[in-house]
Amino acid sequence: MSGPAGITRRIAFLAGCSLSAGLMLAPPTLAHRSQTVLSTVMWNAASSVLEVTHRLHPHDAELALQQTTRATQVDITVVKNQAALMLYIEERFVLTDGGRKLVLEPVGAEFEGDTLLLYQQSALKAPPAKLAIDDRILRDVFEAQANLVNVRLAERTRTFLFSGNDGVKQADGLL
Amino acid sequence: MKLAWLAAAAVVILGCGPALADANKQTKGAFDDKFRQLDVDLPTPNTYRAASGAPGESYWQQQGDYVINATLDEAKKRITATGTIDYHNNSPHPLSYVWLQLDQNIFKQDSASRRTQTTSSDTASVGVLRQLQSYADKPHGYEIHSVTDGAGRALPFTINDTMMRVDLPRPLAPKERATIKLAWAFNITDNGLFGGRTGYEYFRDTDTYTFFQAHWFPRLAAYTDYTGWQHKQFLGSGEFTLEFGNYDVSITVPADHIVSATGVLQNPNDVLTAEQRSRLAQARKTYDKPMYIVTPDEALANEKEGTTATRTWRWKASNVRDFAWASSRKFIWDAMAVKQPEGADVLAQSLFPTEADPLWSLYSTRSVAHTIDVYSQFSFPYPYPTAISVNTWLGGGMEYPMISFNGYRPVKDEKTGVKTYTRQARDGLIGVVIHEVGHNYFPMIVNSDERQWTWMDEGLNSFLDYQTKLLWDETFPGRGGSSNILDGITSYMLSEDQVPIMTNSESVKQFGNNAYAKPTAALTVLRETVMGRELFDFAFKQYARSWKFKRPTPADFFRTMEDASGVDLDWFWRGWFYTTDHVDIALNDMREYRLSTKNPDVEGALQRQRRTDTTPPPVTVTENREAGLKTYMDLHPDAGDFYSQNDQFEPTNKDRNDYQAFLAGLKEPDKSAFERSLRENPYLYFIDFENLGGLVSPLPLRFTFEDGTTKDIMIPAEIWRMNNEKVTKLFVETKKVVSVELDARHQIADAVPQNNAFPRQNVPSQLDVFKSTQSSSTRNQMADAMVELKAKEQPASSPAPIAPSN
Repeated sequence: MSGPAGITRRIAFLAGCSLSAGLMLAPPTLAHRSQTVLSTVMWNAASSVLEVTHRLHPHDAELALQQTTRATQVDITVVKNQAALMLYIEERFVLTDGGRKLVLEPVGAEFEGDTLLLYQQSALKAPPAKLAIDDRILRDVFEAQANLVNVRLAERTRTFLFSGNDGVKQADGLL
Repeated sequence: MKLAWLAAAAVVILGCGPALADANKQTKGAFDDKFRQLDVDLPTPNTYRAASGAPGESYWQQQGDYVINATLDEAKKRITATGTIDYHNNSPHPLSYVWLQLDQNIFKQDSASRRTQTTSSDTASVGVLRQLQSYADKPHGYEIHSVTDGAGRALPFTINDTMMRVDLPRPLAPKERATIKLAWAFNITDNGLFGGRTGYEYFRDTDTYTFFQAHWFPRLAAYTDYTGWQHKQFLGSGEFTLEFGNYDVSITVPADHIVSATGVLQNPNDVLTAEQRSRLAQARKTYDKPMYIVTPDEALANEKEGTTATRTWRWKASNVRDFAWASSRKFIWDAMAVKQPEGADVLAQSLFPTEADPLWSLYSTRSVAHTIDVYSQFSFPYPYPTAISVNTWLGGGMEYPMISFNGYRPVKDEKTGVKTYTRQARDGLIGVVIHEVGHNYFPMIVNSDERQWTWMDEGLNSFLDYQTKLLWDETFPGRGGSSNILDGITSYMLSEDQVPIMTNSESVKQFGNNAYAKPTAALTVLRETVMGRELFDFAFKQYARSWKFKRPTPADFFRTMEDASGVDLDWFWRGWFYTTDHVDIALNDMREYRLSTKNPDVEGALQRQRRTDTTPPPVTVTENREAGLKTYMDLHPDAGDFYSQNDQFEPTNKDRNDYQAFLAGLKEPDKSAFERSLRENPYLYFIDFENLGGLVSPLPLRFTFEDGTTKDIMIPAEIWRMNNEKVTKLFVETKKVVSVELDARHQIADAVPQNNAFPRQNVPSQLDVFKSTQSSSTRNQMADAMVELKAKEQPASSPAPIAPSN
C-alpha cells in the first residue's frame, strides 16, 4: 500500500528486530480488563518539585515486562522488576517545557489496593509554563490502551487522553 | 445543505444554555440546585415499574427456552449445532419479528467492531500479523445454515452485523409462543489471537487445547418495556442483554474430554467413571475444603492420550439467561459443598489444566465458596445448584450463569521444572474468581441491561467484590499501601475528561474507573457514610430480592434504595451518577466565641485580658523596660488621676446599673436559659465550609480538644441544600477546641486533603508520603537496579522506525 507521499514504507516487525517492534500486541480486552494508565503531573509548590505518579494495574505491568524482556514470569512486587518497569516508562512518558525535555528522576513504586503506583519527580525552579506531554505507556502492548494524564500545576486540573494515534499534546496555559 | 444548516443552528441553540430541557429553571442568578428531586429526570413510574422501585403489577419479560445439540470438532476447531427456541411473548404487544444476537460475528473480518478499530502507532507486531493470517486462512463468525419454524418452513431472516432479525409468518400475539429452529456452525477463535470472551487456548509445549464456549449460539435479544428490542450492536465493550429461559443442551466432544457447563449434568453414568461419580457425591458433603474429582495426575495422564471416539454430555439449566461451557482432556477438577443458611447447598467447582496448578488447587474453589457466602448475605441465597470457575487464559475473567472463565497461573522454571507463582498471581486469581462468580448475582440473576448500562452489573458487582475481598483478608491484596477504594478513586475523579456513570456502555471513557471503581466508591460512601450499614444493607437487599430473575433499570435501583431506607438520596444519585463533579470540601475558617455574661465587671476583665494576650506593648516600650528606663509617670505618680487608675475596660456605675436592669427584665424561660448558659459557659465555634469540587457531601468532622481528647461528628449532606457553595455552621462544645479535621477517616473520597483542617495542616503529597516512608537504602535499590539493567541493555528500546523502502 502506498503512503501519503507515494512512498511505500516498510514496517520492521520480525524476530531479531528491536524488542518493542517485535511485541505481540495483546488481543482486545477481556471482559473485565480495562487497559488504562492514569498519570498525575502535579506541581508541589512547597518543595518546588514537579511530581509524577503513574497508576497501573499490576497485571498489565507484568505483561508489559514479560513482552519487553521476554521473561516467562515477572513478579512486579520485586524491586528489580519495578526498576525495569521504570525504565520502560522513562522511554514512553516524556515531558517537555518549551521543547526542553524534563529529566524525571525515579522515586520509587508502591501498591495501593489493586493499583501499582510509580513515582517520578523533577526539581524545578518554577512550574513548567509550556508543558508538553507524550504518553505511550502500554500502548505498544495493548491495542485498546487509553491513558489519562491529569495535570495540576495550580488550582485547576486538566486532563489529557492518549489513545489511538495520539502523539504529543500541549498542556500550557495552566498557570 | 439546508438540513445541515438547520442541524448546526439546532446545535447552537441547544448548546447555549444548560437547562433548556428542564421544566424547572432558576431564571435569575445561577443557582444550581444539587438537591433538585430526580423525578423530573427519571422515567415516569408506570404499571411495569412502580414509583417504589419495585416491579409494577403489570411487569412482564419475555422467555426463551432452548434445546440445542452441538458437536465440537477438536481437529477443525469448529462447532456445528442445531437448536430450537421456544419463544414466549409475555409482552402486551404483537411481534412480527424476533431479533437474535449473533455475537460470534464480532470476529468476522468485516464486522463493525473490527472496521472501527484504530491503531496507536505506525508499528505492527507478530501478533497482529498472525491474526491477519488467521482471517485469511479461515472465516470466522456464524454460518447460519437454516432458520425455520416448528414445522420446518423456512423463515426469512436478515443479518445486520451482530444482530439477526427473523420475520415471523404472522405477528406473534401476546401470550403466544413461537418456535424457531436454527442450524449453525462457526470456526472457534484462537483466544490468544482474537481475544474476547470465548475461543480455545493452545498449549504449544504439550500440543493440547482447552475449549471455552460463550456466545456460541444465536441468543435471543431482549424485548423490553423501556426500549423495545435491545439490539444495539455488539462492539466489544457493552456486554449482553438477555432473556431468561430453560436450557436442554447436548454437547458431543471427544470421549476423553471433561465438560463443565451451565446447569446440571443429566447423564453422569454415560460420561463419568464410577470413581468420578463417587468422588462427586463425596464432594457434595464436604464443606471444609475442596476435593478432587479428577486429580492432577489423572488429568496429566489423560491429556497425553487422545481418542477419536466421542461422548455426548447432556445438561439442563432452569431459569438462566445464558449458557456457556468448557471442554478439554486437560482438566483437573475439584469441588466442595457450600452450606447456605437460607438456601440449598451449592457445589463450588473448579476445572483447570495442569499449567494452572498448584495455584488453582489452593485457591479457586475456596474463592468460589467464599463469594457465595458473602454475596448471599448482601442479596439473596444463591439459587443455582452449582458455581464453577474454569481456567481459560492467563489473566482477566468472564462471567456466565453458574460458570465463569478465569485467568492467572503459576509459571514453570524452564531449568528446574518447578512451578512458582507471584503474590500478584495469587491475589489476581482470588480477586478475579470473586468478581466473576459474583456476577452470578449481578447481572446473571438481577438481570440488568448490560448493553446499555455497564455500571449496573460491573459497578454493583465491584462494590460487592470489594466487600468480599476485604472479608477474605482485610489487607487484601496484601502488598502494603492503602486498600481504601476512596483513596484510590480521587485521582480519576479529578479528571476533566470523564463521562458520568450514567453513560451508555459503548461511550464510556476510562471503562474501569468509570463503570467499576467509581460506582464501588460511590456505594462505599453511601453505605459507610451517608446511610449507615443498617439502612443501606436493608435497601440493597430489597433491591436485589425485588429484581431477582427480573430486569431492573437505573431508576429502579435509585428508587428502591430510597423507598426501603427512608433516605432522600436524589442529591447523591445526581452528584455521583449524573455528573463528573468530585468531592473537595475546604474547611476555610473557624472562629471561637464564649457567651457574654453582660456583667461589666466580668466582661471588662476578660476584655482586658484579651487585649493583653493579643496586643503586646510596642517594641520600643519593651526595649525601654529592658534598658531599665523609667517613664515620667513612673517617676511622678502624683501626676496621676482617675484615668491613670482605670483603663477603658473598667466598668462604670452606669454599666453596673444597666446590667442589674437587664437581669431584672429577664422573664422565664429566658431567665433560666441564660442562667444555665452562664453555669455551663460553653465554647461556640463558627466553622466555614466551601464546596470546591461541586459534589455535595456529608461532613465527617473530628474535633481535637485542648485536653487531647477527640470527638467525631457527622453532618449530613443536606447542610448544602440552600447554598451548595459556602456554608457556616455553629458548633457548641464544653471544651476548648484546638483543631478540626474533615474526613479524618478517609470516608468521603475528598480529593484535596490539603484544605481539610483548621488550623491548616501541612498535608504532604502522596509522593512526599512515599518518600518519607522509604529509607535511603530502599530508594537506592531501585536506582541501583535501573543502573544495572541499563548496563545490561535489557529493557525495552524505542519502537523501530518505519524505514522507507528501497
